Amino acid sequence: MNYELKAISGVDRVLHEPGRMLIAALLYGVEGADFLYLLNETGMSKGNLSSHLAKLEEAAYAEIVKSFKGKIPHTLVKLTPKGRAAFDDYRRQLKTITAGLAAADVPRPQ
Amino acid sequence: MNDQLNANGTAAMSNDMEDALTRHNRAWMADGIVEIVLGSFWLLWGAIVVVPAMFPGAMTAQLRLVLILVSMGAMPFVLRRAIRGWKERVSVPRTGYVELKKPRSKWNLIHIALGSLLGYSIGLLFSQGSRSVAQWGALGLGIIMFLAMVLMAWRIRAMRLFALSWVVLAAAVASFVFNFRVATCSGVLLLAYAFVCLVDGLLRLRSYLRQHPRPAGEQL
Repeated sequence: MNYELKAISGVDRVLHEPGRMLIAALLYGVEGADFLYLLNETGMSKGNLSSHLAKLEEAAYAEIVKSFKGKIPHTLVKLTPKGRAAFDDYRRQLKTITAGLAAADVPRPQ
Repeated sequence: MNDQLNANGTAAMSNDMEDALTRHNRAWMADGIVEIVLGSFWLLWGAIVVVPAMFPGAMTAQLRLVLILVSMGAMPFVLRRAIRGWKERVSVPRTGYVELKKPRSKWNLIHIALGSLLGYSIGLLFSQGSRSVAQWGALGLGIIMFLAMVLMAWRIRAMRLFALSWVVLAAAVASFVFNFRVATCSGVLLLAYAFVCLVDGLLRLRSYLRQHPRPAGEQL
């Protein structure tokens, strides 16, 4: 097995799902963001977003803080240090895979 | 799926991810509130500098100094309060809340010190001509402000801000060419900067409010 293929098999399964990857990327550049912001930016449904957030929380990649602003519930989501490290690794792996596949330059079958 | 398709697909995914990583910059500026608040401060400073230069009896030097010191001291506190308070009323209920990372103040101070040193050195370099160091400095400051606006426009992908930023450069060059006094040069520059911030901020706020009507009883 060559180096690039090893990188593919070693990809983080929690982050290698487009929805969760997008959430992690949105949270990576900031201290935290609320549910409504993530809902707007990802374009997901509330249920779908909640399910992805629960998976990120389960993997200890995200921390979810629920509170009230007046009478309105407020959900703040933050990436944990473990989540940031995992996302750094994931980006590195993705770049390696992209570079490897581009370098292979295999012709398209006719 | 063949390898080339794989490579293109992964590259597209990677590009989307890079876009998402900087999305908060655009989201933070989307409502125009930051520009309006900053523009108001530039307008105040521009007025403090320009009014005594154009109407010598209007303000004493001591009063001007007090106003500048008070506004500079209050700026970080007032800016933070005003931006956060306004955003909580206008944009948080519409498009949600995003907490930006705290800037590394040590690096910011180093950048300001290096920028000032560079500006002063350039001023000294050209001061052999008929114009003073301060006039060259004002032109240099104008160019730096213009470049900062262009950089901001590129970061938040704002074509209108890019177009408006040329007003700042034009003001700096015009002040220099017409050989204005230093105080007038700086004042004109600050007012041009304020004009661009306020116009772009207000237009941005208007289109933001049109695009995002306030939802009723939504979860934050």
